[in-house]
Amino acid sequence: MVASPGGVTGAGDDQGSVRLPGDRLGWATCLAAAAGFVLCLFGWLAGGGAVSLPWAPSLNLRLSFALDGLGALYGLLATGVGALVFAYGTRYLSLHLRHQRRPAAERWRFWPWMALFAVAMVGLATAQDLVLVFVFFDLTAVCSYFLIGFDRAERESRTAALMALLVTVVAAVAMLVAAVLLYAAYGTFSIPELLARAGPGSTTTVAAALLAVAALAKSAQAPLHFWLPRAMAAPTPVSAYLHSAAMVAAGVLVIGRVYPLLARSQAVLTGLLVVGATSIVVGGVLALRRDVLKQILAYSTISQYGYMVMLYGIGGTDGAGAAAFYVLAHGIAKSALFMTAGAVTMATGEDRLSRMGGLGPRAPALAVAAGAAAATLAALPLTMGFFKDELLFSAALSGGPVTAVLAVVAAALTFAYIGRFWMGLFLGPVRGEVSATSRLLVAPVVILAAVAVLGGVFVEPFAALAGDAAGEMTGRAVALSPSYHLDFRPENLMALAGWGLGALLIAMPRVSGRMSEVMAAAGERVGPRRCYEATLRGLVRISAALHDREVRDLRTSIAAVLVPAGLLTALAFAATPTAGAYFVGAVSGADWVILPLLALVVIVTVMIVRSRSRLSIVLALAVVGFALAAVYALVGAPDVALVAVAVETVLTLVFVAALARIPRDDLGAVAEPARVGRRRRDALAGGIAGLAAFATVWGFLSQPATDSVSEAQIRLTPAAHGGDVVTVIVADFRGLDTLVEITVLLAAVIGVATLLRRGRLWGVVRNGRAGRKPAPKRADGDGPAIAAAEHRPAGKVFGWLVAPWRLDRGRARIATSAVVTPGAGNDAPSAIVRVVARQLPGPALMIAIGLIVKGYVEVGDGFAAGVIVALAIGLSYVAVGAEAAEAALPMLRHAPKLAVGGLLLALASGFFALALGEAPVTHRPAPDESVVKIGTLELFTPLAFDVGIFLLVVGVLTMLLHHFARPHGEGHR
Amino acid sequence: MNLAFAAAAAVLFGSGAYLLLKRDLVRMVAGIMLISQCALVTIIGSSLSRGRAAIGVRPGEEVSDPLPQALALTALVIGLATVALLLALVHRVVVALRSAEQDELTADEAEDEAGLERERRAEKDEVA
Repeated sequence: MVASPGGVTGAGDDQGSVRLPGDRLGWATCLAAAAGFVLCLFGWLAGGGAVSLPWAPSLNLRLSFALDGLGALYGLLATGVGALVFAYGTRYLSLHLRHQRRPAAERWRFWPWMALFAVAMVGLATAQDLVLVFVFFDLTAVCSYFLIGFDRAERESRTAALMALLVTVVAAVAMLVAAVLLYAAYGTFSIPELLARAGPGSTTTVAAALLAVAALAKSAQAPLHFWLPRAMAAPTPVSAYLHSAAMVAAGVLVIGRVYPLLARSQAVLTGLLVVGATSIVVGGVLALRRDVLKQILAYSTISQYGYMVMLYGIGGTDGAGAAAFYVLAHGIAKSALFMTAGAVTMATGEDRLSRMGGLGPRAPALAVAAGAAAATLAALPLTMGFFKDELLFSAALSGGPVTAVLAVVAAALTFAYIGRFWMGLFLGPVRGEVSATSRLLVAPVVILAAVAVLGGVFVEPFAALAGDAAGEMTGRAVALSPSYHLDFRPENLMALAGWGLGALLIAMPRVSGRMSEVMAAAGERVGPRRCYEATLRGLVRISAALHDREVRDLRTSIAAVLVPAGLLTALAFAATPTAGAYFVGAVSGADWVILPLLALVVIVTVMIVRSRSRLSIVLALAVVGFALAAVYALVGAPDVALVAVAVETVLTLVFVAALARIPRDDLGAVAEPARVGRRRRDALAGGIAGLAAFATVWGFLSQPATDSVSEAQIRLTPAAHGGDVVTVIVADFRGLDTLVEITVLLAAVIGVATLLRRGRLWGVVRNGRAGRKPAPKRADGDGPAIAAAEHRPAGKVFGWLVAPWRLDRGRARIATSAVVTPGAGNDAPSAIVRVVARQLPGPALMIAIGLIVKGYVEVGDGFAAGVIVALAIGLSYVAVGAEAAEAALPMLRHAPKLAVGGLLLALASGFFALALGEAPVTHRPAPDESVVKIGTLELFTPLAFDVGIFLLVVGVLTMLLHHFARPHGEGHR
Repeated sequence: MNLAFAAAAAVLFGSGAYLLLKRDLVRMVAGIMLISQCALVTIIGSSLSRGRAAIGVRPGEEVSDPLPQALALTALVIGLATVALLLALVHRVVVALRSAEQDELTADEAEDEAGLERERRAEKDEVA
């Protein structure tokens, strides 16, 4: 859309004359906002409307929106002010990017967020569901993060963005908690239903308070106000939009939306009153002495939203009506003032009040427009602002003398700081250089000022809008009829008092300045920002400490898994009665053979623990595996026994190969004995783990489930054309599990290839170039050559996987001299073994085919068949060495294809049913249909599934053997 | 028999946990293998019925519970894949860092961490 290249011309800052590339993206956003404004306006005039779509029916959640009075007020504000600010932004952003010498394309980082923000704001204004409100609420925060941090090269911006995000988002969690509380109590998230159902009570009070916290943080109310002044690091259009009429308005919008809930508790209302009053004073006094233009406006915003929160606290239709009108008047005026600050800064290159002055004659249009906006804020007659204060005063009077005094103080502070702002900018002697201001930077200010003045003359439409919104809030019709009265009614007197006091404050800059400085110093010392920073630092420290404890060391990582698991188990035990829960169980028949086998397992396991040689550990592990396989055979699990034997053999082969491949000098033949203390501690930990496992497993075995699906599976097996129930479960009933399992197998072997061979699934890595031949006659790669190959960036099949895994850190060296391949060297197996091994793959294949053919009727399945073939290949590796074995069986290099093909076949036979509209792993022919038979072999889809598994297992295990026997693909001597 | 299976599983698990805490990476792999054997024993031990292998079952026959067996098959295969991957990892670590001793690896890593820590500290002020 925006095709203009980076406009880094650096030629003069005279924006009026230099042609900037048009910002079509910005204009599109602006047009969209304008269209939204028109839609909102017509929608409101037509009497609103509502949409409600189901979202999560099980939670009774609906996407429900309604353009009611409140929605119209905030929607119009967000889209109307938005359109003007966006128009302003098209110019401002181009200048801003050029000043910072950033490419124009960076506006793609800006406008989409602005647009999304506007959408989120309208969504928030019209949402009728608490969860939906929460979603939009957080969406505005996320957008604001990117917008405030737009100048991401500057640390100040990043910090400010993070602060705004953290404060508003963390507080927003309170809103979610409130939503859940209310849902638990009243069974709905829908706001209208909640308002109807929720009566006064502790749940309502707590939920209301939590909602208020979230809203107040968003509206930058004390003590969570500190993020707003920092957020002034954002580009001016962001401040003009987010920090005047949108983001901060979202808070009071939410309060308005759930206002009846808040009003059920006097305590919450009083809290609002106190927070509002504090914010008025803190913001107002601090604004008196700020020097940076946008800082003055930021503190002013805090103070102004304090008015609204205080009005909510006063309550009643007066308060709600005044608050609604105030939002409107303030949003218009503040946005204009922010844009004024931006325009002035663009024209002078300065952002401090003390370095500017006398701009009035230079920029008369801006001066007048800004004057009107400032007058609106200061509540001078003939502006909309006058009425906002009139409504404020009458509401404050109804709230009692305290609020009345507070209202006058608030008006005086506003008058003082905004007067200082405007006079400092436009009156007095000329200071600094001033260049012409772009018309596009002034026009939006003028329009807003015109609206503000228009509202000062024809207030009815605005009052009607605010009255509608207030009616929505309070549930009663509210008619606001502000007008000029030339008499001595209390409101007029209060306004006069406010102006007088304000003028006094301007006239005595030293007094007001001192006051402001004292408060700023106090805030600096004990303010909430310090608290925030301390919390953040503390969290970072805790996180670092946890990281140090848990992540830095592998042992502690393991402990971090085991210890909590153990604690949870202990808790479960503490909570469960154990008396009479344990049974020894009867011993009969084959059990008398199983018992000595289990004893063997225990003895060998203890030997493993005590062993000092790694090789004996591996062999002892094999003994454990085989003994357990015998146990499985004895308990009537021949399938498991068969696979266990085969897997155990392959594992032992792989383990030995891996041990042999690890350079011996690095491994250290025998680990030096650890310190005694540590050994004792480890033994204690192991002992406790064992005892816990004993208590858990015994308890688990003593309380068998009363029924299981096994019976159904046994019953259904004949219908599935099977004889062996276990095979049918694996290939049919639980076929999806099996699919996942074999996928994991393939993934694991790819991982192995990645680690050992830089992602090459097969073949030789030599001098960085891959040899396709499986068996080079002789490797010319000595240590250094292979080390070089290790360092070469691998552009191989899975080379991209390796890049983040580079463990070698430039130090890898492979001591090829220490590399031993099983079967190599002088102690090679005898001639008989070698001859047999060479002949073995053929018969093994026959056995495998037999297993598959008989699989569905007898013991065995595709997996067992695959492992048996792999074992034959493994034996030939052992007997004649990897190189010779691969030379003798060149088809081995197709192993990766075999594995992938097998997986595809299994997937296809598992998922073809989806294409027919059936559940996955539905097999054909169906149970009641006849099946073509070749002898005992039945031709149906589980057979294809089984063949797929077979092919995959052969491929994967061959690859494993290959990788571990020749980890770097180097030939050996 | 419950007791016997539980005792065997407990010894396997306890030994596995002990080996996991060892400094030697190869022993850690052995520990993980023992723990997966423990899981298998537990699964098989939890069969609801014992008898003939569940092949060609006739009505009324007492057969071994086939479901745990199917689960055990899956566990075996996944165990194989895990151990192979672990061994490859150990191999890679040893080749790359020239040590299979955790303490040395930790010291090595601590060096690296110290460098990272300096960077992190430089960034930390940014947060607050």
